[in-house]
Amino acid sequence: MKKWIIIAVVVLLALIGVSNSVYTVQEGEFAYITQFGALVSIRPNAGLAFKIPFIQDVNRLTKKQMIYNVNSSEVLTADKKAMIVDSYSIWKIVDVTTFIRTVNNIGEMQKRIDASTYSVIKNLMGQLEQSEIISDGEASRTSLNNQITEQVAASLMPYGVEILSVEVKRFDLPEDNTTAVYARMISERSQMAASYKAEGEYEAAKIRNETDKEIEITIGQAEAAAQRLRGEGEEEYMRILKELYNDPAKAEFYLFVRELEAMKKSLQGEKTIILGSDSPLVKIINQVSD
Amino acid sequence: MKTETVKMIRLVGLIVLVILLIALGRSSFFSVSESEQAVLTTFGKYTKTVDAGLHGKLPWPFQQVTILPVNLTQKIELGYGSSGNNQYYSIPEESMMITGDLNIVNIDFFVEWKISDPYRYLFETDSPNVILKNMLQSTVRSVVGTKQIDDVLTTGKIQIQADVKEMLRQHLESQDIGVMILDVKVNDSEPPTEDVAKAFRDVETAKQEKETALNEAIAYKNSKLPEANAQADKIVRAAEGLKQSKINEAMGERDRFLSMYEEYANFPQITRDRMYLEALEDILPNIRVYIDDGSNVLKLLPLDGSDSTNVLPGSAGN
Repeated sequence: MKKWIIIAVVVLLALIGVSNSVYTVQEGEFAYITQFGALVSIRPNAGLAFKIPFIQDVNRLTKKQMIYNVNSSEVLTADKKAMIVDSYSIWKIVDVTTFIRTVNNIGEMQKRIDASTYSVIKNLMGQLEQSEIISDGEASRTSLNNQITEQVAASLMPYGVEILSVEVKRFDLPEDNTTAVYARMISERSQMAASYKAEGEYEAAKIRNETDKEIEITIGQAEAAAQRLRGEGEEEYMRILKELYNDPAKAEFYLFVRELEAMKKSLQGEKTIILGSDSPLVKIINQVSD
Repeated sequence: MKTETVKMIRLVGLIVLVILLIALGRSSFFSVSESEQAVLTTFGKYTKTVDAGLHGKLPWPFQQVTILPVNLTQKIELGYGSSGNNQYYSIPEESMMITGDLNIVNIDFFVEWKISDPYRYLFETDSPNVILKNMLQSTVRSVVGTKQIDDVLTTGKIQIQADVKEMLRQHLESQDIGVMILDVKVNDSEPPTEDVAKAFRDVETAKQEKETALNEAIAYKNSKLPEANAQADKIVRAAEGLKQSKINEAMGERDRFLSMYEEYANFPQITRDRMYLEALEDILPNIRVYIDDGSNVLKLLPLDGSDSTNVLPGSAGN
């Protein structure tokens, strides 16, 4: 009976010993062994691993790339415009030993990232004009991000971390500036609306005036043509009649006919004439009455 | 008493055994649905990735399985969120951004993505979904920051979508978090406030008014020009008519004269006298004629027969 108890105790102790000396390292993490607080070894690869039970402790740190949202901050651009900058950083632990010695804790590291990013962004953006930061092409935005990343990475290297990227994800105007921008946008649009309206009126007037001018020209030309035609008519009239009085005999007769006609015309209606006794008419009358 | 205790212990043992077996069974098999893949680790170390179906594994604590929705198309709504029953709400911090010409636009994106590399997604990246969303925000602002407000609001959306997708793809290439972008869409792109939106609409209205004014002017032109042409034609035709009638008049006169002249040439004096007399016939009936023969008596025509001489009232006393 006593023997069984001893065996049981031994087995139990063995189990505890084994379970205390065997551990697994998961994918995506570093395990490191400390002995009374001192770092003994690092296990970077996943799988089953062993340690001295009781004396040594297993600690873990993530190997994964992590994101840290840097607190948004207000910066001044080179042209003294305040902007709100929101950025994030992607980082990971690469040198466990250094990391443990210098910060030993993710939360603490995030504070360092925060501080470093803030000062780098403030610095870099302070050298650029607002419009350069906002409106420059993708290339320069990318290069700005790259510069920030580079500088933050360099400043945080002593902590055993790698800064994979720092990206500005928001670059906005402070609240009161926003209102000013809205006002400016509205005034710009009103101006555009007004100029469209004026353009419309101007171009419409131009078309009307052009039309009126064309009408004037058309009518004018027509009237000129009409004058010419009348002239031609007159000319033709003269030409036709000219045949008649080119010949002296005809001309004499023509004159006589015209005289008669003129007389008929002028003596139309109730009129009185006084004739001399030697007038041909009177002679005719005298002949008749004799 | 003793046999009952033994029975009791056996029963309990049996139950424990069954529970253990069930637990073992549950821990030894897993099923993966069509939209998923499963990642298997042995003592924490990556072993393999398996597709849909029923699979066996070593029980805990030897092997562990993580099931991921690898084939599922997942979405990110940027600038807005949706609650259960198709209710959308705006998230201004995400959707308001500055354009290249220093205006502010309210733009929403809808992005579809999926896991492309389960290993990276699971083991090399902490909260990849959060990283992806942040990358998207950064990319979207970069792209919109290069565009003009009018492009962003109107015709530039397609270009923005393409640019965001391409830039995000490059991002993910240099910083692999085990996901891929399937599609980027601009959901809504609007002026930032109602007042600004109204100003933008006013511009559209003004454009329309401009068109209208131009159309009216063109209509004026199209109706007035033909009218003027018609009038011009009328003037010319009238003048042509006048010319022709003048010619006709001349020809008529000539013909009449020539026919008269023909007669006259044959018998000049007779014709002459006849014409003269005819003319007198035409005139005399309506005319009073006095003949002054040197005396104080004027003979008065017409000779109506009864009294061949008359005395002018003025010369009666002489």
